[in-house]
Order: sequence, then structure tokens, then C-alpha cells
Amino acid sequence: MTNNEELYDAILNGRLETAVAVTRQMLAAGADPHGLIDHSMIRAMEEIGARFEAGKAFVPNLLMSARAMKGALELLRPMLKGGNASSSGKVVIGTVKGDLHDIGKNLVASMLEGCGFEVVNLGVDVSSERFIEAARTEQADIICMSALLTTTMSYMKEVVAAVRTSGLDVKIMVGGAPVTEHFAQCIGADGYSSNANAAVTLARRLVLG
Amino acid sequence: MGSSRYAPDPAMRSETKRLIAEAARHCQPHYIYTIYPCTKAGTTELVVGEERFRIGTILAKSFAAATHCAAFAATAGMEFDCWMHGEEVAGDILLQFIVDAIGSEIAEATVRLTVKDVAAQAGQRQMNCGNPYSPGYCGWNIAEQHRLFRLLPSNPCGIRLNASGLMTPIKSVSGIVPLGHDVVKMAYGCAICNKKDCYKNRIKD
Ligand code: B12
Repeated sequence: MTNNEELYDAILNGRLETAVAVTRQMLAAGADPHGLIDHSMIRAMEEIGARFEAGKAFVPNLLMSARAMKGALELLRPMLKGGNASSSGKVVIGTVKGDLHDIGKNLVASMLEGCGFEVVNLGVDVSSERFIEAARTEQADIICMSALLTTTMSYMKEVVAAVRTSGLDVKIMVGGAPVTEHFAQCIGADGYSSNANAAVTLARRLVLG
Repeated sequence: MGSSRYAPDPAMRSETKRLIAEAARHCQPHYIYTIYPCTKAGTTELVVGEERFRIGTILAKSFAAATHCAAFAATAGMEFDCWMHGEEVAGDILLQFIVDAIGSEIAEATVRLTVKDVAAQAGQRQMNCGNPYSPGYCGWNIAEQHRLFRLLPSNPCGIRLNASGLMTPIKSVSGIVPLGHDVVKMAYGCAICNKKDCYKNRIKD
């Protein structure tokens, strides 16, 4: 197995230590960080995502891959800064005001990060002002909002309205247990997805415009 | 963990086992309940003590034979929330996911214990006990959490309710259980309801 294949395999199978060790080894041998990302790492995440969609991989598999990817990316990050590396896009994510449920939002954040997005996680109980301020200062491409209950989900509508009024050029994605495609459309969000894997596909589509 | 078809590998299995053992040190499950007489009002409402609930037509059927009901709150405890959000767990998404799922199981197991206790109490008064039902399910609006909490002592088991009806600790459940001589325990739930926006029906699709 070549090193590239070994890295691909480690990420696909969610083996963090192996992914980090192989990446370190390849960098020491002079490998190009961009090549590693494009030829092994992103491909592995795409494959695990496809398996998930096909019902052949499950949430823990996705998370293990994302964790291995993140570990390897951390080694590469210092070399990417200032270079011509561009991330897939920048995302500001949070659970809306009045709500404290964070596991769904954190899964989405991890998958986005694992798939090459820069993610600013604002935590829980996030007001529209904080979403807007963070999106502005971070120059985010997308605002992601999550909620657990129908009562807190309704706050998403306020955030969408405030973002539109602010004139910020940013896309808005929503999700969480009670959220539906229909609700997302009604409040004027740009997209909805029911799980963390589909959230990545959607985010990519929105960034491309 | 997300799917009944998921077969964890040995590493995942042992990690989960370790976390379950550790969870036992961090959870302090508690429950509390109060039994009240109740009466139905029309086909959608239930009056419990001083409170009038709009439980909707689906749940009203489950309370048709109820003369009493138990209002309850159950929780895995604050210490569990702290562990879940503490350094060890929060820094690793896989651990977070497993611990979150364990917390949900603990909360649901605490509800089962609550109902068992309620059933024993009811039995002493020659009453049968039905299934527990929660605001936010089967057409019962979650906004009625506030009304339900008025039937319990303040901050029951340390649970606090915010304006949205969300409980802290997050791994908490509230609800009511129908009681009465003629109450029959139905096979749970989804058979009684076809609400399109309920997750159980989404899964059925
Ligand atoms: C497990 C569970 C519980 C557990 C744990 C809850 C918790 N917050 O930790 C327990 C048993 C404690 C519980 C309690 C309650 N629950 Co509950 N619960 C669930 C259940 C079955 C799963 C939730 C979950 O954690 N899923 C796992 C995580 C990982 O998924 P997730 O958060 O949904 O996130 C995923 C997607 O939604 C998406 N996503 C999430 N955020 C975002 C953001 C973006 C931008 C995108 C694109 C995608 C995305 O990707 C994530 C990963 O795949 C859901 C139904 C369901 N299947 O969704 C009901 C559900 C959330 N519960 C519900 C209710 C009503 C309650 C209670 C109010 C009931 C009560 N009266 O006691 C309480 C509230 C608890 C509280 N603290 O106030 C309702 C909420 C709807 C409503 N009516 O408001 C639901 C939807 C069930 C229903 N009726 O259909 N619950």
C-alpha cells in the first residue's frame, strides 16, 4: 500500500493515530500538503459520506472519519496558512437563543470541519445579533442554525429576517429535530438538511452559489 | 446509536462500555410525581387540579378512562450535563455523541422507573396506570410545559424550565400518566397517532 492509500484508508476507517502518523511521515518525506488533502483526505471523506447515504456506514463511522481527518488537518494547517490554500468555505454555527441542545449542531460542525470548511462554533443560546456580528467579523459564507424544540425553532425566522435586513451577503442553513424543508422555505432560509452528512453537500452547493 | 443496523466494531464496543461505566459515576437520576384527580373537558382538553391542558384529540383518547393522573418530571441530573460538557467529553466528537446517547437512555430509563412507582401507588388505590405522555408529543403543544410545572414543586429534582419550555439539565423528561380503575395500558404510542411532523412517523416513511 502506498502512503497515499494508507492515509486514505486510515481516514475512511476512522483511525486517528494512523492518519496522524502517516501524515507526519509523508510531510517529513516532502509531500505537498495540498496534494495530501486533495488526493487522500477529501476523497476518503467523500467515500464515507457516500457509504452513509447508501446505508452502509453510520453516524459513529462518519464521526470517526471526521475525527481522523481533523487530526491530520491539524498537522497540515500551519503549512497552509498564507499559501494559496483556500478552505471549502467559512461557516458560523450555533444553537439558537432559548435553546441549549448542542449535539446535533456539534455533529454538523465536525463534519463540515472534516470536509475542509473553516467552522466558527458560537455554542448554544445564540442571539441574532451574535450570529450577524460573527458572520460579519469572520466574513463567513454561511450561517448555520440548530434547534431542538418547535418553540426555539421559531427564533430562526427572526434571525433570517435580521440577516436579510443587515445586508450581509451570507447564506443561511437550518436544521435540528423539529425543522423541516417546508419550515426552512417558509422562513426564507437558503437550505435545510436532516443530517450532518447531507449538511456538507448542501454547504458545498451553497458556497458554489 | 442512530440506527438499529449499526454493528459497532470491538474498539467502539469497548469505548461505549467504558463510558457507560463512567456515566454511572456522573448521573444522579431523580424523579418526582404528584397524583391529582382529573376530568376531561370536551374532546381535546384535560383539567388537572387548577390547570387546564389542551392535550389534543389523540391524547384525549388515552385519558378517556382516567379519573386521576400523575404529573411527573424525571432527569439524569445536572452532574451528567456537566460531565457531557466537560473537558474530557466535549473535546472529542465521538465521545460527545456516545455520552449524549447514554444520557438520553438514562433519562428514558428514569421515566420507566417513575411509571413503575406511579403504577404501584395507583395499584394500592385500585387504579390502573397508562403510558406516560409529554408536552411536545402527539399534538400536545410544548408551550404547556409551564402549566405542567405548576403541578410540581418549584425546580422539581433541580430541573429548571426556560421561557421556551426547555428543561435544564438537558437530559430531562416531563409528562403526565393517566390513572383510573378502567384505564388500560395500550401498546405504546405510534399506533395512536399519525402526526406527519413527528420523528417516529418520519422514520416510518
Ligand atoms: C433523544 C431525544 C430526547 C432525549 C434527549 C434530548 C436532548 N436534547 O439531549 C430526552 C429523552 C431527554 C428528550 C427529552 C425531551 N424531548 Co426529545 N427527542 C429525542 C429524539 C428522539 C432525538 C434527539 C437527538 O438527540 N437526536 C440525535 C442528534 C444528533 O440529532 P439532532 O440534534 O436532531 O441533529 C441532527 C439533525 O437534526 C441535523 N441538524 C441538527 N442541527 C442542524 C443544523 C443545521 C444547519 C443542519 C443543516 C442540520 C442540523 O444534523 C444532526 C446530525 O445528524 C427526538 C426525535 C428525533 N428523532 O429527532 C426527540 C424530540 C427532539 N424531543 C421532543 C420533545 C418534545 C422533548 C421534550 C420536550 C419532552 C418532554 N416534555 O419531556 C423533552 C425536552 C428535553 C429538555 N431538556 O427540555 C420533540 C421536539 C419537537 C417539539 N415538539 O418541540 C422531538 C423532535 C420528538 C417529537 N415529538 O417529534 N428527548
